Amino acid sequence: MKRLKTLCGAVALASTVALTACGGSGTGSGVAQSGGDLVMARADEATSLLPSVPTDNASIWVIEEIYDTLTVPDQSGKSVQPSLATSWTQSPDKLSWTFHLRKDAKFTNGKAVTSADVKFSIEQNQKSDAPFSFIDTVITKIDTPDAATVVFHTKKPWSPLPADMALYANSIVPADYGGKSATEFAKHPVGSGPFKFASWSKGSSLKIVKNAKYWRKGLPHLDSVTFTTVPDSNTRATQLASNQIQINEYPSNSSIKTLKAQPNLTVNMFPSSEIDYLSMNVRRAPFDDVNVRKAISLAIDKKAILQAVYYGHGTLAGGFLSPTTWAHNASIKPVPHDVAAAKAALAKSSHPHGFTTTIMVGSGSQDSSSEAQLVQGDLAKIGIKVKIKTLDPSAESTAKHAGNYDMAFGLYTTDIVDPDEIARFAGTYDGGSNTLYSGYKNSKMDALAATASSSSQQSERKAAYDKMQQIIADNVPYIPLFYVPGIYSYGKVKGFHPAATGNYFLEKVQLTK
Amino acid sequence: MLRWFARRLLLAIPVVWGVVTISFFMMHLAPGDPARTALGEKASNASVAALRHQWGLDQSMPLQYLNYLKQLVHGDLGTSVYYHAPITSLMAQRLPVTIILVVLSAILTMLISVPLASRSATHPNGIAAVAVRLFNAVVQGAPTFFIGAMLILFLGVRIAIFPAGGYPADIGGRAWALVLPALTIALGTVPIMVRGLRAAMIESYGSEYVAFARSKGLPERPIRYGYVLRNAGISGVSILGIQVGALASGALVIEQVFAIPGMGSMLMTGILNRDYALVQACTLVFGLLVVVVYLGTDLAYARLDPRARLS
Amino acid sequence: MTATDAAAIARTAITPPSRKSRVWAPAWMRRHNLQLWIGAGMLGLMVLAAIFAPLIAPHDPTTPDAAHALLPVSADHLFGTDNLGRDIFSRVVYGARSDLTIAIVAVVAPFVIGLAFGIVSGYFGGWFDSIMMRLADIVTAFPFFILVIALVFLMGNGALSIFIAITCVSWVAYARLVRGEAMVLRNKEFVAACQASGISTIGILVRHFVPNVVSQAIVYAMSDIVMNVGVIVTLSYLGLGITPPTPDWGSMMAGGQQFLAGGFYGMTLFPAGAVIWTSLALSFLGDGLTHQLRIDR
Repeated sequence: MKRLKTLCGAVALASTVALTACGGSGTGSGVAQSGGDLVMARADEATSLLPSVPTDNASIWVIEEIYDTLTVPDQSGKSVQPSLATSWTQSPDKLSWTFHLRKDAKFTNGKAVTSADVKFSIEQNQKSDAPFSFIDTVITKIDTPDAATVVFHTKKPWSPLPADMALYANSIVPADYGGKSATEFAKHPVGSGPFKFASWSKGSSLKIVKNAKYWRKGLPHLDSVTFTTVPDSNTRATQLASNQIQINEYPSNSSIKTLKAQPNLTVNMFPSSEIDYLSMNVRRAPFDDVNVRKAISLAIDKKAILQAVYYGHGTLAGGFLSPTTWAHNASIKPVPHDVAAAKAALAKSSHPHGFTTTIMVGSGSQDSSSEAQLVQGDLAKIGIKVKIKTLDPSAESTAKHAGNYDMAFGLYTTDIVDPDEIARFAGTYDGGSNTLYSGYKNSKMDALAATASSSSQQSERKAAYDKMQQIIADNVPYIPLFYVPGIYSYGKVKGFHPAATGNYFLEKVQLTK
Repeated sequence: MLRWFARRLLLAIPVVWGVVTISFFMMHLAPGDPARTALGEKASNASVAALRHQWGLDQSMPLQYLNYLKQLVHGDLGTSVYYHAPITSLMAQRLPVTIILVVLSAILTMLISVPLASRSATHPNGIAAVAVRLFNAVVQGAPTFFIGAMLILFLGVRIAIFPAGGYPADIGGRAWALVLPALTIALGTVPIMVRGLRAAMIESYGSEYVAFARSKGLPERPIRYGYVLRNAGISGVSILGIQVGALASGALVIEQVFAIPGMGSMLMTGILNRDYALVQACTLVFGLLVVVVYLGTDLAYARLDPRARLS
Repeated sequence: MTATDAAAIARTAITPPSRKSRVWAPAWMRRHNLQLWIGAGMLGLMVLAAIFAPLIAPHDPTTPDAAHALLPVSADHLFGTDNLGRDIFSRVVYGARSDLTIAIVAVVAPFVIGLAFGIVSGYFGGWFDSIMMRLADIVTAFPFFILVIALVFLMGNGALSIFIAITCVSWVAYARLVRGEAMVLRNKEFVAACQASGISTIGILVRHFVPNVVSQAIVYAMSDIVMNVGVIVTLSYLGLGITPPTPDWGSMMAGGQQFLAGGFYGMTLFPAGAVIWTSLALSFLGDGLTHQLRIDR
């Protein structure tokens, strides 16, 4: 899911400043209670609750509470479990998937969830202007033989389909939006999820209440959840300390130490699929020379950057598929920091004595700016002079997609638990990003990705993904820098455990006394 | 009077048109793509193209410009592609916040400036005057965001009198939350105001009228309040009038710093997400605000100073 | 006053009716024009620091040294070190180079443009004047920082963008100021006399108008430089100004914000001090010049 490093340095301004002021207030024994209103503060406000529209986390994580999907990711983010669908099977010719729906699920408008609703919902996300339509393009036709059965026909054998069905954009809405226009429906969304949309006062808060007729009996525990928009991470921290809010999304890196020192707050780092990377434009000289790219990779002191910028919160990255997926290749180790080896690699290249180049950084993020300056210092030691070029995030993304840069930072996360999405996005030229904007083209990568998605043999799939990671590691079109955890601080709360894909599963959360 | 007013309104039209035109072309020429920004990194190029078509961004720029003007003439500000909402309704939520902030900072500007100016006008050679002079230069030199940060640090955190940013739901909390940002903006204007007021007061004290009043034995108090301050008030109003642009501009940066959900933070969001219609609407409203205040200032000026004729 | 004008109001505010109140200093300071000398001295120090930065700065201002991050004030590091281990004193000194250069250079173009437009506008009046003043109104009615930010977006980061952006905006103040002066001069008898003796209009404007209006503009330029410093540091603070790692007071202050909570004030306060020092200097210098150039008489 999309997670932007917040632009406004200004917003972060007040942020850390007040941390020192928030003393912990006494919490009790931590006994779980039923009911109650959970308040969760986040930096950004949701933009839309129509599943096929938004790409921002603030919207996605509310959508996941209001709607159900056919399948859901499990906690580890490695596989999917039944949700609206109780079981699914691939046809013998592997060109279709049949999903059997549960019969006791009802939308909050009282109507049962049927195959017609599923067909309508998936078709919304197939429309060309939907950001995640690329996930569903493999589906050629949707059949509904009866109210409880859906058949997806696919262009080619497609084993990631059950995982694709867990994507928020494939959430199930009532057919024809219950007779309303999409715009009208978005104002009063109706789903079958654990919570029901209650109200949205734009600019300040969004409230969802318990769906009493939720098909998972006994859930949710909470009466309601209120999402407040508090851009300032400092204010969020203060509010958490005074129990005005119970969960604080994304405390800033530099504040974690201070937060941890407070007795009644928990700061937890959940495994996430986020990977930070440094991409090189192999379409341009001298980055077309693999020795140059290897030299850069060896010259960067990743450990020092992790420490100085992330205060050590994260791990050095090896393979480009995150350890949160089963496809992660653990045999690929992070490239060591070795100036002598870097110089040797550069000596073998077309530019043995170095060159001058640029690195693109999104404006407003102090962290990116610091990272760039450290990389600049590291590369200067092997004779590569780097100029930092700052662009605002929108222009930066345009430049990346157009391949109009030399080196650039970025991060990616996966939206579905199957490695297929991210392996294509970050590993293939035609997967949406031209191999993470590097322009690296290798037909072997496409073939491997195709093998992996069509095979239903787990071991065969794993072997293909392992090879893909090895190819990237050998050719270095980009350098995976860090595996970054999802950081949350929270107070009187039990059962909060976001999945690696980000899902909150708030139906399992309880307030404590 | 009516003719004067009508003429002023007519003259405002090219100004507003200019503001609208500049913001239109500035946004459309800036690198960055609203559709890509809205759809995120992973969306396929086909999706981006489909959305660009849906938003009419695949039309030629002159055509888009004409369509925009047409729409504007019909009083339609358009739809924000970031907030997925009509801009008029967004404006209705955000504009009042900014106006309150600007008005509050104007009041604070006067509350701070009048005593400082009057002290340094009445005792021009005293230590106090030197202190005011120094204060003025220091405040003028310190960037607004820095003043904001220091106010947060000291009044919001060390001595936690005010909230360190944010905008609570209740009215009282909101009023309280606006004090520090308003003070920050005000401090940006105070140096100019103090300088202007002080000059005007010294001017008045040296005038024949005051000399005459003194020679007749009138006590200092009525002279100060009845004549000097009244005269200074005229310059105060005119300076405030000119500074309203600066105040509004200051609100823009400061709303970000203090996380106040006004026009400024909305405009910033709009710029970053290349929400063209939203940015254009915001600059238009800012422009109108400034034009209206200038008009108001001239009217006030005419009321306060009978010598000023509205021709 | 004439109706059109926010511009006229602007003039009233900048130029009070009589001018004896313009210099702001106690009598004992005014006697020897102490302000001029104090201002010049303070600015001179800063300029010297900028020129001789390589000799003064004890450390390399740009090379990161993460092992020595966030050190307190010491003999080796007069102002301590920043989060990337660089010497803050050296960075403040080098910051004077980038910030002062742009601030001063960015005054020249608006000064010249404003002077030219102001004189022509004030002398001829008529349609040219109307257009100029509408243009000025548009610039004023446009939120300043949005204009600057948008221009920087358009042209990319860096000194040139800042320079052009500031020019686009700040010529207006000079034009209004000078226009007012020129309107007064136009009606003076010597102008008619010059015209009668066959001196060309350009000759009149260059020989008689420019010298008469320029001192006002110079004094205003002092406070304009202060504003430019403010704009540059604010842009850098928003990440849109001078590109790192070039030392610059604004980006240094921005980088220091998140460390205030941990008690590391140096990263923010020392560059802030440099900004304030510079503006104090220019403010005194402006007053001193007003006095010296006899604008107050």
